[in-house]
Amino acid sequence: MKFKTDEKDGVVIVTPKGKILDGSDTNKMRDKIEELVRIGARRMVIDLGGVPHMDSSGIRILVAALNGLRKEGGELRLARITTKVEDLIAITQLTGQFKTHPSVEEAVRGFSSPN
Amino acid sequence: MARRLSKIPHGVAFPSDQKFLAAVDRYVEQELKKAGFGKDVIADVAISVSEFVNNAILHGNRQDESKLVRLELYHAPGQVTICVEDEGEGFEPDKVASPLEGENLLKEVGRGIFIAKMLVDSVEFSRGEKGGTRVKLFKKLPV
Ligand SMILES: Nc1ncnc2c1ncn2[C@@H]1O[C@H](COP(=O)(O)OP(=O)(O)OP(=O)(O)O)[C@@H](O)[C@H]1O
Ligand SMILES: [Mg+2]
Repeated sequence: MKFKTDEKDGVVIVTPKGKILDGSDTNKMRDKIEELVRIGARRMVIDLGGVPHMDSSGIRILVAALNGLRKEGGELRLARITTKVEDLIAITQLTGQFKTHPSVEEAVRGFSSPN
Repeated sequence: MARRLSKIPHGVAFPSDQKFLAAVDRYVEQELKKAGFGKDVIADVAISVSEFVNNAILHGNRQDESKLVRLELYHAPGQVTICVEDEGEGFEPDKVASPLEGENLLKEVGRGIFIAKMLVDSVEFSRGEKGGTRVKLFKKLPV
């Protein structure tokens, strides 16, 4: 898995690509998100369109981002989630914790609308 | 990117380093593809194996590279059995807390075994010859 980060209209967009398995790339992504929140990111979208599947380390990244942002009064949204990842989030009963959107644009727009 | 898995009867063995996870994942996917499993099932089994291999590396062998993780794979028409064994001290799987309960739900870790169990038909823990953990997982092709 490789990932990149961008910013659009005050929203940080994190885009991982490839299957997420535990290891150094996963730790890098988790640390990067933590750093972005530390330096002030409060609105974040993780674009999961390029992630066909993940193990528990993928869930760890999502939960860490969610907790980190909530702690600072920020918000996380997920975009373009794939079937297998959606199933995994459901299995771990986290569906209600994440706001999901069919596209990055909609996720970004979501921050300025009531839900 | 050469992450060499050594061949053993019915499988592979490798040192306890997470950098082997990707190679193990490819190995499992290839073998299951050869055995005629469909894409969805392969993805589920591979994730399940990855959870146990990662636990073997981190919790069992504590990333001591002189200790090996062994993975054996047996398939018959329509079913597969995979064993993952480490050289650690073993643990009590029954005592692992549920990741769904109370504050565990939003903890960062503690979901691996739970996820792995949900993705295959059965998971059995036992002790290996040297006292390490041996996990046996079984998956039948959905009809
Ligand atoms: N092979 C093993 N040897 C020794 N202890 C193990 C082994 N596998 C699991 N455990 C113990 O069981 C616990 C639960 O494992 P599980 O995979 O469910 O969660 P985790 O590894 O702690 O976190 P996650 O998998 O979500 O990253 C581990 O924290 C560890 O204490
Ligand atoms: Mg684990």
